[in-house]
Amino acid sequence: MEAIKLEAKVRAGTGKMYARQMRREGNVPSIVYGADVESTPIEVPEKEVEKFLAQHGDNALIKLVVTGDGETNEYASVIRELQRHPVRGGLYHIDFFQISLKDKLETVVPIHLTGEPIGVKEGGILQYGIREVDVECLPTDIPEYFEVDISELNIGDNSTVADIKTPEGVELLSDAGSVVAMVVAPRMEVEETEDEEGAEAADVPTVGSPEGDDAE
Amino acid sequence: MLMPKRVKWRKQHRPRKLLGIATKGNEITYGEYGLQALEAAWITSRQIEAARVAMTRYIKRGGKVWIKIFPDRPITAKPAETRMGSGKGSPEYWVAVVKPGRVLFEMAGVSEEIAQEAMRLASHKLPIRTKFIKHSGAGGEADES
Repeated sequence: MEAIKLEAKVRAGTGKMYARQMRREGNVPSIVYGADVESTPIEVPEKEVEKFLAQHGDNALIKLVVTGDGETNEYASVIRELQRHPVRGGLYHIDFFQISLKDKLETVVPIHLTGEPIGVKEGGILQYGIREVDVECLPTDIPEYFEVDISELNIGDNSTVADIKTPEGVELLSDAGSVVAMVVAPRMEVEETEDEEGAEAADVPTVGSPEGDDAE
Repeated sequence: MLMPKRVKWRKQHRPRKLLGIATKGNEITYGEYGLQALEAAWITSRQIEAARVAMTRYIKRGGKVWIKIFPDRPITAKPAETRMGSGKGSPEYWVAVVKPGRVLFEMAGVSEEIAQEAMRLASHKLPIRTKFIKHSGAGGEADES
């Protein structure tokens, strides 16, 4: 995978007041660190990063160009952590991890499911297992995603990590038995449980009471 | 209705004023679609049950619903027309403490339109504003409701 360029500036200040001001101006407070670079607080334009993430995902190899203090440095890096606001969804903070292009690294790759399972056509429900797998590979070999064909799954069948075909040089670290997708039988009827309607809030026994110990 | 099977203490202090945002449980974990809280509130077990029934009735036989919150805090009340004093009231109902960002329900195995409508119906049973969200693997982020 070719490294994609992303421009950043060294942060002029620190602290939450400065970070909030930066976010209001459309920049994301970030940091770059790694074996060959001292931890440096930086800022990146939010629009550029969102565009980058939409096109390449969050496991792409990045050529981070950091300008500041009268000099420009380039770092081969990957995104190690991406924080978003839980409600607004906007980018909050990014950790860029500087890497060596010659050393293998551990990263996560998302799984994309393709095809409509036979079981779903027969009325089953597709249920997801894990949505990304851990891999070890050279930074230049990081796949954007893995495709898993689930069109052959019947009701009761599942697809596991072992079904993922990896390109040469990419080693899967996740457990081969982990379920990626499964097709389960539909519910036979809408459950309208009214059985506990009469249960009062005060009826719940406490630990140590004869009733509470019976519940164990 | 949801409530604990047994508890260590029957009565708890009243939950404090709800500050901040949900730092846990703010992402879709099991399903494809979710209903996310935009405000803080105590959601009672009755409200959770009403929302669940509204959703499951609409999606009929298909799909699967996950309830991501559990009402584990007892709220006490004194009987009507009682003089003050004589100790704390008896537990009346159970609430789940919800902060903005919390994913309340998740759904899978139905089309997006059905999920959106089911979540809309469920949101009318809740005392807070909510938003319909999709897992990023299901093709994107949010939609207000």
